[in-house]
Amino acid sequence: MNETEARARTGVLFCSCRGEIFGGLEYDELRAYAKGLPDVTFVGETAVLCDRKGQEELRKLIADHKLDRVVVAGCTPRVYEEIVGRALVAAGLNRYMFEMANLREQCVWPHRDKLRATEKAKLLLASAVGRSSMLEPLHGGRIGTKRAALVLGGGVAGMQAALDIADDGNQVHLVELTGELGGRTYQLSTTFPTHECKPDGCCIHYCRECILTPKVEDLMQHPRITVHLKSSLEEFGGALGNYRAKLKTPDGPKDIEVGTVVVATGSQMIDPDRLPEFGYGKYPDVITFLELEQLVVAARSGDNQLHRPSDGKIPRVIDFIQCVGSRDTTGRGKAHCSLVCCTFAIGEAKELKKRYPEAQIFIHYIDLRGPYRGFEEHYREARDLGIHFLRGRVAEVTMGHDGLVVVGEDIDTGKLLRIRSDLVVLAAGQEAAAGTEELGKTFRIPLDVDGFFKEYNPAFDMLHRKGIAVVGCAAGPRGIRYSVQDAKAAAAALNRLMRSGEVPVEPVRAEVSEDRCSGCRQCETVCPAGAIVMKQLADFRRGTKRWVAYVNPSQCVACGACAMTCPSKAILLSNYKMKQLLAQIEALT
Amino acid sequence: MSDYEPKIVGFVCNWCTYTGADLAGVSRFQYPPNFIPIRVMCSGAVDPMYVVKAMLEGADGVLIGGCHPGDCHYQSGNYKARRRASVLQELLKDLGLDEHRVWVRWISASEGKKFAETVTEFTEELRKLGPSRLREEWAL
Repeated sequence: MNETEARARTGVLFCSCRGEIFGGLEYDELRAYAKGLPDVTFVGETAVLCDRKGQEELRKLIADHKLDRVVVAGCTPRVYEEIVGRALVAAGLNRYMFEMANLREQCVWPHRDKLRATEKAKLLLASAVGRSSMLEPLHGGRIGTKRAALVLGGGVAGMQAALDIADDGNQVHLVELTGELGGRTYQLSTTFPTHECKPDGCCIHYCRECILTPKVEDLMQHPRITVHLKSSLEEFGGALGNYRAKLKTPDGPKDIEVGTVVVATGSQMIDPDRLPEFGYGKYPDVITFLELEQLVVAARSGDNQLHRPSDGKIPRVIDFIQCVGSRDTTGRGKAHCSLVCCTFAIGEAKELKKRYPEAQIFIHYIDLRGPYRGFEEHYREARDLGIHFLRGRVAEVTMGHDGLVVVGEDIDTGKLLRIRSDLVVLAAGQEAAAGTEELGKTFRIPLDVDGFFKEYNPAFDMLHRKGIAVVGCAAGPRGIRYSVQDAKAAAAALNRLMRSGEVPVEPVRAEVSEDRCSGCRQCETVCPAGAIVMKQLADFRRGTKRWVAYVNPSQCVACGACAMTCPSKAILLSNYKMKQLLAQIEALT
Repeated sequence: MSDYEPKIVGFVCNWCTYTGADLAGVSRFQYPPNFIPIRVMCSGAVDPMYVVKAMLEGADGVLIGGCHPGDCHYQSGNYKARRRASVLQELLKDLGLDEHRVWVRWISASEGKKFAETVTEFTEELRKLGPSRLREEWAL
């Protein structure tokens, strides 16, 4: 049944995995069985295939026995197929001319019964040998890429990505929705815990002006960066290396072509109106973090005093309420932790305490979370300064006869609290920015449970397939430092992709047989990557033109949905063709 | 048939269920050796014909394993698999075959335990159903 034109010369190589595998099987029986399988011309064994010696052995066996394909019976292909593939290439074979029979993870380890494990191992082996007879060499290749990137969002993450990508010799289009760069960072008076301004005036070192202004200037003056302010993305298409985008700018629409994309669209603040018990919008002295920041900025440029919104008085009792809309299980806010608010509240409380040592400052928290270096010192210093940390949720903020009253609980002492307060600062959490879902569809990036863009798992690097990276808070709340690190990592990966002027095309991908294609477009509908478009083909027999599917090789993600859907079997996923799977199935009997 | 051991063919996706099966092994969770995996890139690429073919080749049961809804590596492959499988199960019923012999399960890469439990459960179920007669009948 498994006839190929010239008979395959399959070598079966058992890896004992230092005895791990052979100990759980009747090895001699299995070895004899392997010898009898179709097209198997050689059976051998090695102690450890994954070390250099083992690979050298494999290379030698391929040469000595003139093998044209190999079945490795050992561990899981999920971990070691790269290594085996490389060894094949070194031996002069195509790197796809092998199959692995997973005797370790899916046979010996989960099945202690030696006899039955051996029976299963035989089936795994037969299946792998069956499939290997149908393997075909695959070739990737490279296509030209634009040495240009689109960076969406001009916050710290987007700015850093733009600079790093442009510094590598690429053109960058930085698109920012608002009229200024800097994003949320630009609204902060200081950053914690790394930098702090002196309470009595500007130190000319650490505030937003000092951190951001030089960076903004670098960007604006960079010969390869074009900053599009008050602009947005209107249309987007194409594939890795050759994306096309239409921008909406104040000067009218602009068409650009780029090789890669950085999505740095950030997050948005959860509107405290959704939690009416805190009186936001009702009482002018209940403000958000960002509004407090603006008061601090105003103080700096004014009389260096913090004036509360209602009557301009300097507050003497200040309450910080944490987790407003974050870690919320009532459905009004979000279930996730916004990560930065504890660091922020402590920093702001310290700033105020240093400014007004006699002020009473309370931080109402559920848990203190500061996954940052330096947080512990930051927190201890705040305690030493006399800032009060109260564990427990705040029930409500009301208006008493002489001002605001914070009603809550101190869980540690079990006491109910009624604190007469001058200023209440709400740590409103972060949620996915409006429009994230739509952008996710545009870029075909899935969203996570909290509605943010799903982070790439660096262990399964898909970046090279699409060249679209999500950085900063668009992938979930994170601090400035981590946003910048994200941006630098993504920029490095994208730079590496574009540097040679060519991007790789994966060898495993869907391929169309134009003769068989009827142009029904079902594949186009199911493709999750938008890699399939229809192209016109001259039909010489009929003297007309007809439509056939075309797979953009650099855009295909190799899922196989098209191949499954095609009613004419005109589109196949290489390395997972029907004959290969059927050979696997047939070998099981 | 007292020595009947059901044969299960599994079409499992590379990203979740196959990796979950690996984890079951790494964790040494024991499950019956009645399950033979066939690795595919995505559960959405499992043609119902493969399922039928496996049954004709003597499989007593077929498991289609994919990522949890919302977690598909290719966004929507598992939804396609789910829709297709429910149509297939209806069809099997109409053809006089036992639709309980085809299972679709979402098992993530971190659910080694669930993988082992699923295979155990399916094996028990197939023991109750007895051997599939399909191969025999189609050899007549």
